[in-house]
Amino acid sequence: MYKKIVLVLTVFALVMIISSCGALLGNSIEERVQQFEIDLNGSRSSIIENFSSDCGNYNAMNIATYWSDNTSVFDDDYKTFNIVIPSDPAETFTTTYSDNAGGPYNIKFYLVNEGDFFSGDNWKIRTIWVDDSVQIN
Amino acid sequence: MKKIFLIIFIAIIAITTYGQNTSLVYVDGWVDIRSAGELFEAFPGDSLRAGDSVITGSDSYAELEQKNLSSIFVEPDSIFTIREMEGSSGKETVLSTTVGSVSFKFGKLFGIEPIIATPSMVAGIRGTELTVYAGEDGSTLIAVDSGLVTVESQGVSVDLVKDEGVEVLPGEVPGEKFSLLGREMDFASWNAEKYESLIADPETGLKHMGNQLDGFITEIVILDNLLTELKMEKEYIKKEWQKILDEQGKEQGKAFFNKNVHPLDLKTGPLFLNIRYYSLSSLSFRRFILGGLYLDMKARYIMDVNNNEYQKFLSMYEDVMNSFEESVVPFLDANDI
Repeated sequence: MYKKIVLVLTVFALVMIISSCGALLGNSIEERVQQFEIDLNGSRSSIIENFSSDCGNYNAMNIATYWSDNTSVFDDDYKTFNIVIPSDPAETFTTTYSDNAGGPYNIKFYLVNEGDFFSGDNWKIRTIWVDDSVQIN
Repeated sequence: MKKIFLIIFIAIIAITTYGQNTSLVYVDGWVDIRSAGELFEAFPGDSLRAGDSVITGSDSYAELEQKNLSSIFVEPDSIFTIREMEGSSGKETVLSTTVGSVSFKFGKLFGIEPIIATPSMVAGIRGTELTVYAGEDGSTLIAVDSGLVTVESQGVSVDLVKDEGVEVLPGEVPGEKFSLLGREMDFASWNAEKYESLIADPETGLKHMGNQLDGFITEIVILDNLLTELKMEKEYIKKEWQKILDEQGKEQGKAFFNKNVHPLDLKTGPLFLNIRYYSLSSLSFRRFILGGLYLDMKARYIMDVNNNEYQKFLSMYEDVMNSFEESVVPFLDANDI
């Protein structure tokens, strides 16, 4: 009987450890958008990791020139980007951002949760609209 | 405490019965229900939700009843599906007969009549189910299960509705659309047939493939020219912006930027991604279709490398590859390969 209890407790503890480690790796909606902002203002080498691989443009934007060249609204020259992140945002939310050059602009995010039982929440960006124009989908 | 259990019990019943408007009341022989892509044997009492299909065999039959007292009789060798669509007054139920024969009997208490769909009456349905068959010769066969699909190739469009299909050869406009009813879709034999005709005349096949690749390249060139123009315009306006920033200050600079530069940025980003889309499509075509043909030809002529036809093929292949290197590779990077 004692052995059984120890075994059950050990399995329970392992599940808790694994799931809590996973949860540490995951991201809430707020954290994901914050991370996106940090990456926009940083080296941008891992910026693609903020996006869901379900994005139709995922492979298309997985190229350094899209993020480093003066090609998009996220032009590297416009650093620093400042996204106003509301507290406890929904999976689709609209807010504003400004950068060193101009703004504020309307920006709308749609995120999907790619987490599971072990990893916990892991929200990823699926679509970004800027001023009602789809920029990333 | 008992009350709490009762409330929970009622809530569970309410949740589990929600949306279950149609149930099977009689089954004769083996009848299947296809739900969420899986097949289950049907039994009396089973409930059907929107999207579920009842499939009868050559010697089976099923009767369904809806809460509003309408009855549905699914005859042998039929596929009957309950669907929902957004109508002018909200969600509407569509009782759809894909193939075979289905009879309906509506009760007196029936309120809003459902839509009875046949293969020729599905254009209004929102949402689309389709199957895409991609052959080794670069051909595509599209079969539509529901909704409306517009197939476009080489600037020509064909609208397909439920139970219609169309074949598109590489680099060609879509062929004549055809009905899927009474036609068994067998991808393996369709694909084998396509590849046999390709190998029988590899030069023509390669010519079609080259046309397909040229189609992608044309799109890349058009979009790239547009992007280059916009970027030049942006650079020019940015100089003006810098001047305003220096002379009139940050607030004036910001207003100028918002009005003149930002709208250009909104256009360039999607343009760049579209160029990448066509570049990646070209890469995929080169890798899986052109590459496959090249390897097969090489294996076939391994003992006869000086064969005239093979040499002609190699020369044409080199031209296609040169075009790819020149026009597509600049838009690719290591992540793509």
